[in-house]
Amino acid sequence: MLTICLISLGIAQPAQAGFVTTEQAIALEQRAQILSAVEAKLAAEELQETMLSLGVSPEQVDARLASLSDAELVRLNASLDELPAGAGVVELVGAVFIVLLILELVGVTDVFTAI
Amino acid sequence: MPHPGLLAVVLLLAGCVSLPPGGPSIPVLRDVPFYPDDGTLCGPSALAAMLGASGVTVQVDTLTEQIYLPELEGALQAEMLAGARRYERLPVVLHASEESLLSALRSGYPVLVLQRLGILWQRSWHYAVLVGYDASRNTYVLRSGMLPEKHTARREFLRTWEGADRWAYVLLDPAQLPDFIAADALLGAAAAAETTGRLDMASMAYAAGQARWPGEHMFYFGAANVLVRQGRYEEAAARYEAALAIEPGHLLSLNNLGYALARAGCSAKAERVLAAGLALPTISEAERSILNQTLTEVSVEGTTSNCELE
Repeated sequence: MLTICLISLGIAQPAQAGFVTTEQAIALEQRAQILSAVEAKLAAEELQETMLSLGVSPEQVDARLASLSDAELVRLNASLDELPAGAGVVELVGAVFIVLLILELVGVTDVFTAI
Repeated sequence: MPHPGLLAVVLLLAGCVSLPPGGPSIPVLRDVPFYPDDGTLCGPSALAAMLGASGVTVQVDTLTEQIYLPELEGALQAEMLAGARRYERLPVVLHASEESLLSALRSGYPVLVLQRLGILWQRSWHYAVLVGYDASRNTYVLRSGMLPEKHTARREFLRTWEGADRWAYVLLDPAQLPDFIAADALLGAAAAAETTGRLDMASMAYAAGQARWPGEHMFYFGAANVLVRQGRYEEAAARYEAALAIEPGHLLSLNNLGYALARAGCSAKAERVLAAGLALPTISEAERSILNQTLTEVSVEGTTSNCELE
């Protein structure tokens, strides 16, 4: 169903197998492998879910996906996978810990009884 | 009398030290609008400024709907590019050097830059628009956040830009190709326009590329690809042949020529072209599989009808 939606919207318009787009030609030259239309279409499907979960409105999501090139779809999908969820919080907790540890070591606080 | 070679070295060194590192001042580009932002909308605000400078007025709210990810409180690079294309402006990612920033500014083009700001846990990504360079203070001038002309020390700016992998782009009106644009940068930008169906923009960019770099076969290949997408197969075939006249061993041009010929009703000729490509000793594995697939499809379709290219 999702696939049908995407194709009918002209996203990642692949399927003309045999025909090589300029983006694919560049990818072949740079990475020595073809950027497949299937890869881009799968990325678009995953991205649709991700974008909706990140607060993009359902009315906007298809137009946003359609304006991304095949290479951008693949790159964007990969970079969103790499985003560590809640990284900001983890980093903040770590920082607070370090500050407390320093205060402890210089004798300002007495949070860690073992030190 | 010092050795002339030594003198040259001394002069060179002196030149390095005495010249302002970023070269002469570049006055602030006055026609770049400013959209202040005191929150997380630096992406839409910076894009609105870039579009405004290239003659397209768009409200930040509209762009926010088109490129902002509310839960991430930010906009991603790919969407900063895609958002510009929606307004028929061609985003061209610059080479990752300070000189490329300065060349764009000197030509009167503002540059959208990504920066990695802050220290330790207070790190954040930030989009800003580079609009000038002040040699007397050795600062870059940016439309950034709430500041229409934020001066950032050159060293500091370059550090934050480095932290964001030196990512920057300019927006082109596709009808104009400024001198500072490199061939591969233009080709990549045009290729993205082609894939997203912005065919007029892609076609103009490929034509500009052909005019500027007549020996670069990829602009002919791209122009032909646009014609295929428009169903203009005979014209496309002629462009692939132009690409092949420059680069006879370009197998993807042969492949697409075969495809276009078959679509134009010239299957027999298509098969000959593809077979000739497959016989080339320089063919790679990936190219062989592409050409074989095309040949299979052409053979299956099979009928030669109304071929005017035999």
